[in-house]
Amino acid sequence: MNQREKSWLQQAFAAPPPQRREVFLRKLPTPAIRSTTFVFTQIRYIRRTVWAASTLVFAAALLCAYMMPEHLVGLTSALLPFVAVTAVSESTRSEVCGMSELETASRFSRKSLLFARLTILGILHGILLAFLIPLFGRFAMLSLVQSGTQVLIPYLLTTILCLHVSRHVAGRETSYLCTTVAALISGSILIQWDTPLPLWWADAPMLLIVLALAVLTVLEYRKQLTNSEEFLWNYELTN
Amino acid sequence: MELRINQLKKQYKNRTVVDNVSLCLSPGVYGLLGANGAGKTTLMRMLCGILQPSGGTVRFDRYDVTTEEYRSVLGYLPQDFGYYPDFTGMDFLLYLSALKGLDRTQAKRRAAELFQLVSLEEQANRKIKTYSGGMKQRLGIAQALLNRPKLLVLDEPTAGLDPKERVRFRELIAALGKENIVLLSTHIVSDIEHIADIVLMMKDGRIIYNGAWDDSRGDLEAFYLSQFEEEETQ
Repeated sequence: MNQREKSWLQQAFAAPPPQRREVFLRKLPTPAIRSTTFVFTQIRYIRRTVWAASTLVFAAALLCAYMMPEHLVGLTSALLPFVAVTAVSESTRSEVCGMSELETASRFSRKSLLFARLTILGILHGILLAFLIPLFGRFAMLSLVQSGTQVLIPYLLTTILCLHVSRHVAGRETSYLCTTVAALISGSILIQWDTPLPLWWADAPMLLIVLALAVLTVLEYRKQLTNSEEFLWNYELTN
Repeated sequence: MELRINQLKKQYKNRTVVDNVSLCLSPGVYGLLGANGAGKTTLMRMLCGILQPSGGTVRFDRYDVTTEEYRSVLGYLPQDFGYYPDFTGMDFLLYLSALKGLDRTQAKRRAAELFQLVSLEEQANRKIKTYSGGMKQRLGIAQALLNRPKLLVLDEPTAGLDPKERVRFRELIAALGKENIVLLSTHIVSDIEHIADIVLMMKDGRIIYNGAWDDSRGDLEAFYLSQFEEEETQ
């Protein structure tokens, strides 16, 4: 039977209206959704500014590497704090936009949602940072440790400070303060253009600093996840 | 199907906002009435797993309030809710559908049904920031129904609705209440009179009345107001 014949039949014989549809639908078991599937569904809800910031830094680094390699380290390190801010702002978006109650009451709670978003951003930024480290090494003639330091210190420092700010300041002020933090760190890098961080330091102390910052970042994100478990009840809000 | 609330309590520093509330709710419509500061919103938030109680338990059948199974049968409309700035009405429902575990095809179908139910078909693809207060409230009602909840908790659901929409809403709730547990809070006594099978009156964190209300008991509003006059004269 071809499509036209099927269409004629459908028009000639209308299907009867569904009986007890709601009862039937309610009896259907709720399908389990895998965590990985849930994480993938959240990719479309990460804001375009987040993707744009990472893409911009990626493109700027690549361009700089070929056209102005002497400015590669300074420019890229100065842009990384703003990339870090986009990740922090994703984690605080629910509170800023007043969606946290609805998200907390959903089947996949706000903690799962936050974890999904941070996983996606962690992968995205991980790829970006992993790309930049060998790029610095090749074009700016830095060692692996020096490249890692130049990339990770601005990013991790901004993340720690912004997460701390976001837990103590509510609403849209969080965005402004985090952007200010990023601007200050970026500015301090730009002031020492071309050698933003002390390259004359030995590798071991620099590695220790990066490790300490990485541990602090993990702890700050852990606090963020713990805080998302409960809507912070404010006496003034409900009175 | 039963919602068991046992000795539920919420304390904040030296103030008890919800004071040992125990209820057993079966399918039907429950109207929660109380003045500002009575503890209605706090109680509802604890029933939705948004606030952690200071004491007591909440279970829907055998599922505790902290479990995913509980949240999967829950529909909640907060007193006030926000939205992500660039979302259209459809984006909003699809986003919350994803959080409620619906796949995209199901979600689109369900969202279309709900837009029709709440008379927002023509506004579905408009940005929420262009919606009036009443439209936003209807969108909120729609999102609460996305997952066909067995437990529906509505905090001030008729706020901002015009009289015609209020009547439609009452009919919807009456239909839902036949097979599900619907708990709605309001200041508007007439909403409770028309919709609720059981009236729950809350004062200073406690339930002071729990039962059906009919005309033989007199005017509900007069009874409600008399509870607060008693406090003033004391």
